[in-house]
Amino acid sequence: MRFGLVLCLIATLSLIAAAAGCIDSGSEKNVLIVGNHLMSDARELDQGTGTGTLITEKIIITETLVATGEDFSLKPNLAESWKMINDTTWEFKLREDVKFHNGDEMTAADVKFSIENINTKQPGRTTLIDYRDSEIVDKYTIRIRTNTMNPLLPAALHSPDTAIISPKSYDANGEYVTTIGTGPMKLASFNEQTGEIVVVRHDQWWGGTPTIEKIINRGYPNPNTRAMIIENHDVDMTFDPPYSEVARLDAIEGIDVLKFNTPRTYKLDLNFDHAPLDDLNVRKALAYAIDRQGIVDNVLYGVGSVATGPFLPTMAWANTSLVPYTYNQTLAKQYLADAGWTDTNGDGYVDKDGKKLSFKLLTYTERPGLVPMLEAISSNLKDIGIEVEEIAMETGAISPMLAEGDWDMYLIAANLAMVPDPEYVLKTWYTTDGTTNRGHYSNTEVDRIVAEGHNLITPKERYAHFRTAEGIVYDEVATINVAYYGVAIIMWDNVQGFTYDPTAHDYRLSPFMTVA
Amino acid sequence: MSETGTVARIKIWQSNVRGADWYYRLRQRPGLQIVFVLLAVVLIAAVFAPVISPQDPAAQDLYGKNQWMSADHWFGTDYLGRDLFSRVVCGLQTSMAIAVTTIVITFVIGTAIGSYAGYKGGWVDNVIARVIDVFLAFPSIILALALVTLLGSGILNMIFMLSIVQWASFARLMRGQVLAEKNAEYVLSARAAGLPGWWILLKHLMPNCIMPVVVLATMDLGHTILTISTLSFLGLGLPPSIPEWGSMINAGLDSMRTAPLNVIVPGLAITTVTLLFNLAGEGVRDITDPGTDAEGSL
Repeated sequence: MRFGLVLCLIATLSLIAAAAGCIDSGSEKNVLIVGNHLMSDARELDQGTGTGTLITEKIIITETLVATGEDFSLKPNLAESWKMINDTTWEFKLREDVKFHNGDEMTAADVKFSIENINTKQPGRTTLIDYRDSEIVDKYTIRIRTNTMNPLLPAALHSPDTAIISPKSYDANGEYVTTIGTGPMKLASFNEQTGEIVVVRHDQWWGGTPTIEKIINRGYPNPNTRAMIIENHDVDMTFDPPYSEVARLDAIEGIDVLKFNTPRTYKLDLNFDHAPLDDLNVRKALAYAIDRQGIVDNVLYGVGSVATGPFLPTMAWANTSLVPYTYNQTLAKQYLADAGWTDTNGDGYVDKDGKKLSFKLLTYTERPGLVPMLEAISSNLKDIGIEVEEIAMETGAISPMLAEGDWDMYLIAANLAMVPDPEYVLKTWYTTDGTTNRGHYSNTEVDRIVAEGHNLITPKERYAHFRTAEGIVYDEVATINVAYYGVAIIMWDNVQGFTYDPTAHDYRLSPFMTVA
Repeated sequence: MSETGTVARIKIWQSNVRGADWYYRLRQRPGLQIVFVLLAVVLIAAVFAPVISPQDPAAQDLYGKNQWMSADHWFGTDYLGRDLFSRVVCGLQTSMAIAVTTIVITFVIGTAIGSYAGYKGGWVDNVIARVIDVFLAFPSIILALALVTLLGSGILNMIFMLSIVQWASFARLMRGQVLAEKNAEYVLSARAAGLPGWWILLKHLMPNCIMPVVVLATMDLGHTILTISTLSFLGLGLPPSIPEWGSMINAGLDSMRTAPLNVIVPGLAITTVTLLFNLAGEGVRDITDPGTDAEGSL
């Protein structure tokens, strides 16, 4: 009996050892193991119900019609070219050499299916398409009609949510089976228990033969865990450890840390309904009071960069003539004094008509840089005599305060390139009716420029036109831009050939990477 | 057996008989004396925190972040360059203020409700006892989390919520004590003498029932400080501008491996203070209640 037990134990142990041997694939050539922050479930892999960024950027099994260059300008991808036929119709010519993972050719019918799939299942993700219907002109030509005139359509089709999949991703009843895309890698397995996703090379990819054979994607939601697994070389590549760990990891022999800006910005929304934030001098004082360089170096540990305008300077449409509000306490105090705020009673805080200047500063806790940044900003403001009440809670807890207007300043990390075009941000953040214009900034000139810009079609005209509006909102300090968001990508030196895509959400893997 | 030993034992016996032996028992326990002295230091530090802390706990120096211990910064600096010693001392004040207020409130409410229920008996006692059961049945940290989500953060909300979570254990203990004592002869004789109920409760029962509740209160102080820290650690307690140990640990987690003082300093503070209160609580129990004298106690 006891002998039997021992035998069982030995058998079990050898099974575990064998299994462990199978799992350890780190020694194979061109197999990349990635530690991702997503802990995905199967729904995430479905183009209709998931987030496109996983399938399009992290495991590269799907692609979009339109791509972008490093400066966020639009580039052909699955679509070779596009043009506006009339006010509400765009025509897209598709590449003729695109094969799905199952060997089927990609046609206009598949494009229509994919766009309608996401439009029906998650309409919130396609609002910028403003989709009405589409017409298949021939096998490789499709016309997409919008409800209203929409010059943003090609840019909106860059969104990974609009990735093209084969209708055979679903069975006859419309139930999800697997994701059949056109990307350089194809889905091999998904482990529902561990969330591990394995993708292998798609030999018939139109862009050439990928060098990478296999990508194993594992989810590690905790930043500290990601720092440990990369240090132990459990994965070849990961991103966003705690910012404070970046320098330590970089110093480890064989580990490379790459830091980039992502299209996201840390900014302060200002509540224009609350005096004296409607006073330009007070806003300028705030803009000059913040030590942006100190924050980038010491709060973000260099993961990110000092912000000037709302857009990254590398974006093709950015207004690069903006003059930075460089940290200057004397100037900040001067602006406060110009607005009538001085410390008359010697309590360390400026006051006016017997009231001291005091703001309620809000942020949410989900992104790691926000709370320490809030503390740093509040200390900067205290230095020029402004009292700050700090509130940092989960999004769910602060949204009622935002909705009721119970705030003066709101620190947020906002996405800049939902679509690679300036109109979206300028319209939603800064026009009088803008959907995320929380502080109710209003300037008729900005409203007019943005409205006029909507009717311009060519990117060149659009970019030049919107630059003026960006200049106005910057000079008027409609928001205070603190820092551009950064991402830290950490790799062992056995990984080569990674190129950074600045338009991606954090990062996009390249099919032409090699792993030694 | 020496003569002096016998005398000593007779003295113990005498003092036990007289019921005023706590001072003697305290003198027998040097360890406990040290605990009380340390606790006194902690309480004084809590009261005079702003005077004691060498620097403004909110004063940042981004360029001097994450420093090791030095003459300028005894416990080093945190991730925003703030003086950790000053922050930990001010954190003590925050925790103590909340904990002591909470304990005073729960002590008063719990004792009042518990003794009333115990003395009154009948259906009143039944109802109150069931309510106490319901409150005790909730895992306290989960109840606290739910209340914070409902009420929002802040010192007053924290006190309110901790009081709701903790009053029941005081009430139960007091009720049990009163139930055990209320048929004692001195109570019966007081009743026979025609004294009013509230008088008997306050003047006769209370002094004889209160000691275990005082012990509970002392030990609960440590427990409360731990709960406050837990809630702040989870980001549900106090705004970031108020130095508090739990939120200090939470904020320092990301720099744990590059600048461990961010976590170690507040962590040790929580451990020390909680331990001191627990030891003191046990000590008070030992010196006031000879029956529970245990081997190896201080």
